[in-house]
Amino acid sequence: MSIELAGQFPLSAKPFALREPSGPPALIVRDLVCGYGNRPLLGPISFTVDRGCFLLIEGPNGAGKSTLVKTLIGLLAAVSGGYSWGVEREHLRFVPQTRTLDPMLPATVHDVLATGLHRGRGWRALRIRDDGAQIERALALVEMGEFSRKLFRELSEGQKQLVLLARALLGEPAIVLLDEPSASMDPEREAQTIALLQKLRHEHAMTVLMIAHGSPLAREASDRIMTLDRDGQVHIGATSCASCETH
Amino acid sequence: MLDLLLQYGDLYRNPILCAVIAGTALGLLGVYVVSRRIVFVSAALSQTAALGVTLGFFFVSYFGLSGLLQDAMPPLSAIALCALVVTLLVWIGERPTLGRDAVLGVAFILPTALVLLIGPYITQELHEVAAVLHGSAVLVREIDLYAISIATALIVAVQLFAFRGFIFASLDPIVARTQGLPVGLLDAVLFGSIALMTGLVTRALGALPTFGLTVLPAIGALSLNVGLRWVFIVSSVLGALSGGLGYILAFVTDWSVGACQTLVAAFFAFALRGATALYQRLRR
Repeated sequence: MSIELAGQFPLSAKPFALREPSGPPALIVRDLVCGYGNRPLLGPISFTVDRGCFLLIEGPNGAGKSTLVKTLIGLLAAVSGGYSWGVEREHLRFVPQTRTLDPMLPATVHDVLATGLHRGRGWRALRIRDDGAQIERALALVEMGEFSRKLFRELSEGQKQLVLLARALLGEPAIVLLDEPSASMDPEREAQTIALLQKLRHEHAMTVLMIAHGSPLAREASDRIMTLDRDGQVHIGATSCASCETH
Repeated sequence: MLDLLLQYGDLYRNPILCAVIAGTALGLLGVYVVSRRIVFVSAALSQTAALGVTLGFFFVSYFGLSGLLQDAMPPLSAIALCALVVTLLVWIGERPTLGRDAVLGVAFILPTALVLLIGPYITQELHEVAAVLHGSAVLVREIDLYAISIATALIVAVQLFAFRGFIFASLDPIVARTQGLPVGLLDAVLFGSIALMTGLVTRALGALPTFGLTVLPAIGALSLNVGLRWVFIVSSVLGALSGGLGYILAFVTDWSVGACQTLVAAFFAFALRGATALYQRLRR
């Protein structure tokens, strides 16, 4: 599948450094056991993800897909083992499910996109400059340019998901993690999203880790498929990504 | 009546100014309180602050305090108790064994019972306690006005400095954490701001208008589709107007001040909600 990007990428005039496919792996996971507190739910697992690779994470409800992703982005502490990202944390962006955003605040699409401009850690991450032009370019990438002044809560679930993807792209990430983006999308929007991700990873070596639930489009696009079982077992399928390894 | 207000303007300037300034800060903080579904935090903190003020009066009476300590003890006790409740809320977070709503329930009902128990021991100050509980205070002490002005300036400055951060932490705390925002610290500052204003305003104006000016302007402003920055500005302006006009209404009608401020805020909230609904219907 191939599409032309609807807008400009990278979004800022200043290119970010980690767009080269060469260099250390995007992610190295060693004997990682995920869970809550000291209670293991998944693992131990070891694998390596190379830059520009598309890793699809599948499994039934309760198998630990979201737990794995939450551990990898630092929201949950690992029970044991560890992992290391091959890029600075600020080059990593997470696209959550739409229901994680509180609908009570009457945030416009522009307001939601502006949160994507936060970078750095601690106090440095608090101050941002609202770059309207960059926000418009991010929305154009997902073909949502005309929705900038709409209330986020009034969009369809599929449109919300595209806005959240645009927000992640605003950070010009080297790695993007997506939590079931296709769950709330119609097939056309899902195809649009996956094609956009494909384009970005092929042209800008963006690494993609995506949770999906039986999506043929995502399977077709991915280099590797990680399948989680309810009993905590992990299977990682064959890879078309030459340097990715499973241990 | 208005002639009287103009004639004795100096006397009534402080309570009107205090209501306007307090309404500005409470209206701003109220947007977070309502949108994060922690309205009960404000109610519980109002009751906790009322207990703090009552305890302050009790200490003054019991230990025979005078001078600055006599003035400062009630608001300081209110702020200290509110800070304690806020610390408990932040510490408990979303622990599954004891939710925030349970702590808030305790923070609401226990102070109410304790105020009733302590009240008889401070008979001389009982009318002041009643004024605090019901918001029927007509005059405001200069020290309260200064304290509320300084606290409001501080809160507005903090909001201006980190407005986008507070928004991000309220709108999408999970992603905010992944992008490096100190979400726990922002929550602590936000709850601390609410505790500070609630403690001070409860002492100056009473528990009823403190709760009313926190919740009602925000309920009106949250119906708007004008961008988040303007939602906060509108809520602050409505809070200020409700505080000031409510006092003037009470003066003209000789009704309770706190009740009038609350009713004016309710009028603005419902009028704005109604106007927004009508506008949206006409646009379709």
